[in-house]
Amino acid sequence: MRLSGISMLNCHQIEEFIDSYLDESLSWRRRALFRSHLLMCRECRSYIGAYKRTVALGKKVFDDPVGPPPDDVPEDLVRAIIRARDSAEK
Amino acid sequence: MEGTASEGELLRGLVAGDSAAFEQLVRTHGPRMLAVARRMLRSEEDARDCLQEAFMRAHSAIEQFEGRASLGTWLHRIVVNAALMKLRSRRSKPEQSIEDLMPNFDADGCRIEPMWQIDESVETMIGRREVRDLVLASIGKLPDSYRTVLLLRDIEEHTTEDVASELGISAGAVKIRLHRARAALKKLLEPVFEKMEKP
Repeated sequence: MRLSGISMLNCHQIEEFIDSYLDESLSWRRRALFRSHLLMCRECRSYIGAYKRTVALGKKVFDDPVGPPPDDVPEDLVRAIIRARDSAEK
Repeated sequence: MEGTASEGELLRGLVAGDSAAFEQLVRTHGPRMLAVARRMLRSEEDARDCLQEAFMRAHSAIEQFEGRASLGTWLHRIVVNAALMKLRSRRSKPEQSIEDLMPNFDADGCRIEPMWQIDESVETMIGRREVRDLVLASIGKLPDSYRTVLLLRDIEEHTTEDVASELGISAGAVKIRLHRARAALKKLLEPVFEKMEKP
């Protein structure tokens, strides 16, 4: 804990609340404690910035419109799927 | 069935058991479905099996398709469920620990982490081939149980409760795995952050 205080949380204690803080589901009291920790702790501010960036990169990497086109289905697999369907039909 | 049919025509053909309609379904929707199976399963063989199982399920359930969502959305759900079944069947294999990728704290509970100041937007970053490749490779490095939760929550946008029921674990366990998966991914992406840091 970088600054002492009766109700201050340390970096380790805020770790488990990061996702709830980011999706705004923390109670007002915990949110206030979390925010007061962030105000005083640049390591956690930096960490949460990189954490948010990570989540955003993970989401973007699959929906980026300039990303690679969907993979082609190999022809042998297309044929195998069609054969399986034909067998099921019989 | 000749040429490329509209979704309505395609559906009618599928319900009627038209093999050309089924082939069109596979050729039109297969690529996206295979991409989903590949990113969830990582193994090419499992992804191929998964795609085949998904199309067989779609074939046997086509009469129950109510058209509330598009055919693509319906097939997407089917392939995600088929991939989850596959993951469940191989869950007994021991997974690599991700403890080394968790954040570090000193004895007083203070964070020991490198710090970055990055001005570049996420959109600009992801536009770079090397960043995109590293993000994809890093997600691929996560053990199945973490990668699955990350993909279902962050990419497929399923709710915590839905993921809990799909994986047969508690909502609390989903939250913990998601946090650990994101923290591990952040650690794996540190080389990118280091490179992008404002001089």
